[in-house]
Amino acid sequence: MAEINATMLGASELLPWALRLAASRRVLAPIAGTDGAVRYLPVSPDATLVFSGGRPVRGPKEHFMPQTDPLFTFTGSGPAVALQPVFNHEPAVIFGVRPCDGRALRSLDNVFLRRRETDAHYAARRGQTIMVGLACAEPGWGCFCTTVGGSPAGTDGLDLLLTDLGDRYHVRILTSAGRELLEDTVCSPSSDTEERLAAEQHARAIVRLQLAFDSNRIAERVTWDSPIWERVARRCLECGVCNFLCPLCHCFDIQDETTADGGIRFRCWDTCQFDEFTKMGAGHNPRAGRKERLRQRMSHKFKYLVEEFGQAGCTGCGRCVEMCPVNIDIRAVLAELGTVPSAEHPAK
Amino acid sequence: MNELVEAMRGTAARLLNGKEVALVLGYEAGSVSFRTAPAFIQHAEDAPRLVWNPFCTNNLAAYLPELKGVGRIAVMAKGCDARSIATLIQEHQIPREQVMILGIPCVGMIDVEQLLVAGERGPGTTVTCGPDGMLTVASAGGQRAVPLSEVLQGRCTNCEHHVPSIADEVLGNAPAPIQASGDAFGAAAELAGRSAEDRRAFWRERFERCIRCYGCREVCPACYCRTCFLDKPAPRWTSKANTLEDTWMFHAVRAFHLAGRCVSCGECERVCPMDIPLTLMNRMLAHEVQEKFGYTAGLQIDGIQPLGTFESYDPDPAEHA
Amino acid sequence: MKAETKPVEKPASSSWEPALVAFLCNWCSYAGADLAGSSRLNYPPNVRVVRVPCSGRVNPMFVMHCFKRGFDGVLIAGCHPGDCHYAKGNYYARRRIPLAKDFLGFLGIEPERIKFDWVSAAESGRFVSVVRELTESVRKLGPFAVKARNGFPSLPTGVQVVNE
Repeated sequence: MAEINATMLGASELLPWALRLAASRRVLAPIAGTDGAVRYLPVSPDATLVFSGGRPVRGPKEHFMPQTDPLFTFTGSGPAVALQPVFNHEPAVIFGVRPCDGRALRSLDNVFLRRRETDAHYAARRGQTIMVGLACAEPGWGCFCTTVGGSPAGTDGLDLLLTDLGDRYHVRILTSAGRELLEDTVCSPSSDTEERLAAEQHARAIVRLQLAFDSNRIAERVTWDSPIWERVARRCLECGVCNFLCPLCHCFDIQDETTADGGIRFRCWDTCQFDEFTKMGAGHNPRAGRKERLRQRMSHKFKYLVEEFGQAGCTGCGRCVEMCPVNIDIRAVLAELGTVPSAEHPAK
Repeated sequence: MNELVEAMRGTAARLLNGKEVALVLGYEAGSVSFRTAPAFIQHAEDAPRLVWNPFCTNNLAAYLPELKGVGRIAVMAKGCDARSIATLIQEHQIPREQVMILGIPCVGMIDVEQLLVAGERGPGTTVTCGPDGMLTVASAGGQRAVPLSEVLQGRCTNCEHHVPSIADEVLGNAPAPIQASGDAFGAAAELAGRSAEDRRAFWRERFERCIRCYGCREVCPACYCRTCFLDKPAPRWTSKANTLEDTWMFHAVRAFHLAGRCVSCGECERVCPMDIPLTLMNRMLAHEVQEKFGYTAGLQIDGIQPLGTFESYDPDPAEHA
Repeated sequence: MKAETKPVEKPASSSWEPALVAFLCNWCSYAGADLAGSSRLNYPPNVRVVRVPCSGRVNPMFVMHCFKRGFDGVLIAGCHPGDCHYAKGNYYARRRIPLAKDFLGFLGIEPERIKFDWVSAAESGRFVSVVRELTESVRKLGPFAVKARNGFPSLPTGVQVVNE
């Protein structure tokens, strides 16, 4: 008998399912906190899962690459220093992952798994985490996933894809891990009508997303000396909102915190927009100005990563667009690149 | 609104053509109809880029300290922005003669998150501002009329300084004042009335959300230290780890560094991606500074701020007095 | 990395003792404390003394840092108004410290955990009673802790949270 690839889950089944899974692993879902902020937090019986509306302001990147990621602790000093590695990764399930955030994992995989070295922490988390996706019914005003090869119903990086049909979810089974996960809950077969409803919702969402810029051969158009950098970067405030909210920005710093007889070494998020990003001990800074750092951000995402891995470092989630305090819109910048002449690519 | 925009553009062109200023700081259209972006106008022919609408929320004073060497700068300043500029002049971050303050009497800025309801947050939504403070929100679901007064940012409903306290030129006429719906200390007063344990829990929950993006610090005109205490390796006041205690320390210290200097422009809270109610701290401190020292930030361009001085009759807090 | 002082350990038992930091100005309150010591006056041993040149040297960041590191209370003691060795330092403190205390109260640190008082070089008795008062009021309130975030291990000799 052919394996079924879709099934239906009652909406009221979702939280009980998540809670049952939480008995044996870490289960995260988008949960509303006070003042409106939605984050991926461990589920609890009184949690309000937020599945409607736009994608949560924070994605699940934090689970794979925690903002503060201890590497080891150390005690003693001198020749008697003892290191205690910190390596405690548990199986996990993340519910409500939007397709842009799922696809973002591919980019993180490129960086942490596919270079000469494999990042053990990332690999452990990635290998033990099941991603239950949620198709977007309502793209945000900053969203542009379709421009960069994604979709509000994309399946990249996900094990299951849920589509909200009101009182029930259409569930598309994408991997064996996803299939296995469903054994902990009650599903029923999907009907043709339900398949059609899900497809229609996806199509409606896709249609709402205009192409924001021409992503064809974008890497060639991200040029070093374009006058855009200076002009746009003038208003940049050098905060970390864009990079910290990005589902796949991954630059990190390594810091030590010590006390009199020991300490801890950890990784923490860094952002190319901070002045200190490449500032060196003696004071030299290869990216001293905002122009250099804005160019760095765009080039890293749309040129260097493309040249190295064939995939842009952007899934069009739109968070940076919507949250930038000064409305630096990455779509507008990319649309303009290639239309404004520069020395590397004179106007045709 | 239109004649104000014309006045802005005309003034900017005149100042640049006459070489009275080297740069005009204002607002230009954003990438959507409900956002604007800070504009740096250096040529008179670019003056038509300037706009004015209830989305011109950015506090442009934040750019001034670094522009010191540029030459004379004209800045579009709402009431709150003008107070920030006054504070910067008072603190010798920019000479008075280098800034030309173009005051704009302000009827308030829109809280976009409050304005756009479910169904309107997607692509294609436009917001237009009509006369008499009526907004039209057009989205895939239809059209909706909203009075500006219902969707003002919190800091605007409490504003006592719509008309800039300091200005070289005032553009446009003073508008009808906004009916303040609460006093500036209001929400902070409610929190202050709760138990210490409640307040600890309140702030713990908020600070736990902080992602240390420093959007609040960077958008703030009063935060201009070349090396912030957060970035000093020695002494190490806060770790780069976002443990609760380090994040708590960050916010506690930054808020206290702004005591008597913050003008409650509210930008910190607007830009916070995690919806942390930062201005509660600033409002509490502004209230205390007013009560204890009779001082309000941004209403003077000289003199010494209250924590930089003392009086022999300051109350003596020592219990054994 | 410069090593910091060892943060406070709180045993998980009823034998908890308040851990206090006292910022004492060199010319008055520190001398007063010293006199208390040389006079063999008994006072609670909970206080760790940090000598500063003047109470005006006390940056509110010091007070916040103490609480961040897990101490339960802070004393700032300076010269009486008019007697400051540097003429004016304590006047600045007289504005700055109460404002900081009120602000920290707003953040949830009970005002009884922060004591700001004047102790002259001759007032060994006063030093003793000030320390005693702070120790007792903090003992009544219990330990203070800005709880470390879940999942992030404490420093090896870090704060062990008892309550909250």
